Amino acid sequence: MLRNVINNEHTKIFKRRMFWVELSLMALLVIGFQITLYAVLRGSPMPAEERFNLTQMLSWPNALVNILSYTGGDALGGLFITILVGAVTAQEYTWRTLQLWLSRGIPRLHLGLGKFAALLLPAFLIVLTAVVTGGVMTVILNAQVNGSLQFEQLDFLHLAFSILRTTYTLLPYAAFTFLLAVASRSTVVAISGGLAYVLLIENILTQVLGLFDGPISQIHKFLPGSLAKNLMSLNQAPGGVVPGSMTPMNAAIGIGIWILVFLGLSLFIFRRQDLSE
Amino acid sequence: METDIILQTHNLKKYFGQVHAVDGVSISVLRGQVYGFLGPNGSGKTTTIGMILGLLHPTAGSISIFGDPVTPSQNKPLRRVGALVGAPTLVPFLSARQNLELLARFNPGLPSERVNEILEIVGLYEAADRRAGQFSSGMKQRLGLGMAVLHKPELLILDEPTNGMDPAGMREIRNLITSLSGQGVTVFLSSHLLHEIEQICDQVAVLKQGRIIAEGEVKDLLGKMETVRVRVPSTTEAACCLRKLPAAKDVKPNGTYLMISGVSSQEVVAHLTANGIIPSEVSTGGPDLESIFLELTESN
Repeated sequence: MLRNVINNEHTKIFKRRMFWVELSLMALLVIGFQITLYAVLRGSPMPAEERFNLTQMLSWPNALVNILSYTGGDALGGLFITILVGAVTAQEYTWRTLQLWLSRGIPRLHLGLGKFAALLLPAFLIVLTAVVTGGVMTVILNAQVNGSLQFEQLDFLHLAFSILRTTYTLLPYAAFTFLLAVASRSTVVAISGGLAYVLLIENILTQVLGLFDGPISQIHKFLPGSLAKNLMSLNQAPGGVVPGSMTPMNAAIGIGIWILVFLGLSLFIFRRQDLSE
Repeated sequence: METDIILQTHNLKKYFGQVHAVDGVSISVLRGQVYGFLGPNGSGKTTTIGMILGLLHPTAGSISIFGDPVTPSQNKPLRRVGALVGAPTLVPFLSARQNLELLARFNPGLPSERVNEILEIVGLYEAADRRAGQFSSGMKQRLGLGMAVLHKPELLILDEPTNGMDPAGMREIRNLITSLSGQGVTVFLSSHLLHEIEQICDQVAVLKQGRIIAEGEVKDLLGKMETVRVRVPSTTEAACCLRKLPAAKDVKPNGTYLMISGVSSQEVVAHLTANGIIPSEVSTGGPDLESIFLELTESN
């Protein structure tokens, strides 16, 4: 039953124009960003150190790490997944299709879990689109900048894990928007609330908490965005710099707790909801 | 355990704050019956159906389908139920065929040609690959009905199934319900179209303000409300005489005729002749379900 729910959700998501628009937009942004970097590198005179840094951003493996850094939960990836989750979840209340599935004897727990689980693949595809587009772009630009393709610089296993880690950082934002959609039954509330959190609230919270002394000032480390940054520090090339505020393993556990809290609350609300006309 | 009672509610209640939307509804629908569920707007029909389909949590009472309890967290018996409640629920950006295919996934035993068969039955084969969101309300209703019967349910719950349909479409749906009933499908039908209910239902319940105010076989309800028309020399004298009959209701003079309900024509003639009044003409006429419905819902 759960597998059928997930299959159905995938059909609905992949038949949505919005999903393909999001992937196209992500690809275009990556292309635009890479071209801008290249244009800056080629067009304007700059100190050697700055030129070196820019060259690194267009060269493997840093170019791909850089792309992953703005595909994470606290960046573009977070925005895209928030919009997608808000739409696919809350619109089912408007269309009353939730009533259709439930009146066919699908258990509420399966339906809720299935709907969320089905979001893992689109989240992965959002990150993968950025990496694949960025990969193609850097094949071209890397050759232009360095005169050759340095495949030996790429650790494909490390890259695969980096993609999975980045996808994982999208999930607390997906779960938060899922919670908003279930609790409010409104697409507008879910998307605007989710975007407000990604774009504003988390940053404001981080700054406000930083004004306090003692343990309160440390709370911001446990917000999804800070945890994502910590976990994604592992995306750096092996031996790269890892910030010391929290170990990536603890950050991964923290992210997992956020996902469970938001998802658990969503399912609790969903199971108690009256779904009338 | 399988029983001949397919759907049963016992003292079902649903309160929204101070509003008692459903207040102690107990019904039993037997296998193979076409059960009509009538009531004015706001009488609690859709709320009752919502609870039966596990969409609303009852405040009190119980529901069982095929002998097994149904609640929002225990809805397995609904896998053998098809439903169309209010406006059809469709994924608007998917075609009619894709909407049916989504549902078909939950019934793995369903033959692959069943989707085409349903599209033919509901007359949407030609429009099968058009987006459902672009359909007219009548076409959506047809698709909704197709989705309800896709998995060959044993119990079909329909709330206003002919909404938005033209007269030909209504007749097709009526024929479809009759045909399904002939195949042994139990039908629970809520409709405002009383003529339709009268034509196809075996049993009806009339709901008002969340309570059942009348229930029974359609022919019994119609029989109870039979009107006797007598022509008498003096309607005033005959009316006085007939009002003494304990079961007589609504003794109304109408020109040289008297209309009496609640008693049979034999009782009327016997009572009048016993009192020395000889009627010159006696006839009986049954009201339609609409008259009964209006009388019940306006008088209670």
